[in-house]
Amino acid sequence: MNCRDTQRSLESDHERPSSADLEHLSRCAECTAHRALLRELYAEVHASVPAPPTPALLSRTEERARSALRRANAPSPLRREILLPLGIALFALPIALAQGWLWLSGLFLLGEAWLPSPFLTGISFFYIATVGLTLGALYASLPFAVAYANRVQPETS
Amino acid sequence: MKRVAEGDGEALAALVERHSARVHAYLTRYTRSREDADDLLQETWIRVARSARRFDPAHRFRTWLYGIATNLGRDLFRRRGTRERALLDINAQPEPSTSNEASIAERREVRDRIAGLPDRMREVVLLRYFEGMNEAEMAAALGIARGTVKSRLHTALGRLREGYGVTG
Repeated sequence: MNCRDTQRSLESDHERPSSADLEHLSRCAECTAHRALLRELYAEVHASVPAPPTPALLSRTEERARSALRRANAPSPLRREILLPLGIALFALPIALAQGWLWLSGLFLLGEAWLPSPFLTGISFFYIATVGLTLGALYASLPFAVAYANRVQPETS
Repeated sequence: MKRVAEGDGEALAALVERHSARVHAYLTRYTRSREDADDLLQETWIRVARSARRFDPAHRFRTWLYGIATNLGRDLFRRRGTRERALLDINAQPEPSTSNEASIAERREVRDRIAGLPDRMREVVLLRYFEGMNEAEMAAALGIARGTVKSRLHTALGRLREGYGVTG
């Protein structure tokens, strides 16, 4: 048996070494020192036990942990309040698109006889771009509006 | 732990009561400061509460708990840097309850040697000999392979042995 095996074996159980370990220990000072160290370690374990946490510390710990648990399990108010307006806003999207389609259809129907086609196309493009940008800005501002209403910093949303 | 994950504060309180004394002792030895151990104990349980849903029931709660405590200890050391740690009061460790002066001196020496080990080595020594964990539990707690635990422990013991008559 070599030193490495003996020391590993002692690390598993230094009190009851095998006969092979004992034989090795009888002629190896290094492994004997290793065993002595392990004994010291276990003696230290039994000799010194740090003072337990005070009741005040335990009480504070428990209180803070409970509070953290409540927060972890509470539904996020921000998420809840964003989802509802977002749902309503998405519901309004097809209505806005339908209205835009009606406007443009009406414009072409009435204006085709009076105005040149490129002019009508330009007006249509301008209208679509404006509506698109407005809707985009509206949706993008939603989380910030909710955060502001909740007195929460927008960047945390 | 399942009840804690579901938000049961009473179940969490029971865990705090059952495990805090040992975790606190571990943190006191690990940080060598009772004040730090007090703070880290609270932080450990806060993190348990926050992460309860992510706890994998396939693992033992105790190893998970010590893993959290160890990580918080490492974070603390990282924030402070090595220099300040070296100045920590080693006397924060408890005095042995024995009256034998030679024995006290030996224990003190062992304690000082453990305190002087690099963090990663001190962790395995404390978990193995003071917390009674086996290699598999230590590997799970520290998030490292069993082979790494073995070699780290062996190296740590080698360092502790230096000065015990024969150096390895």
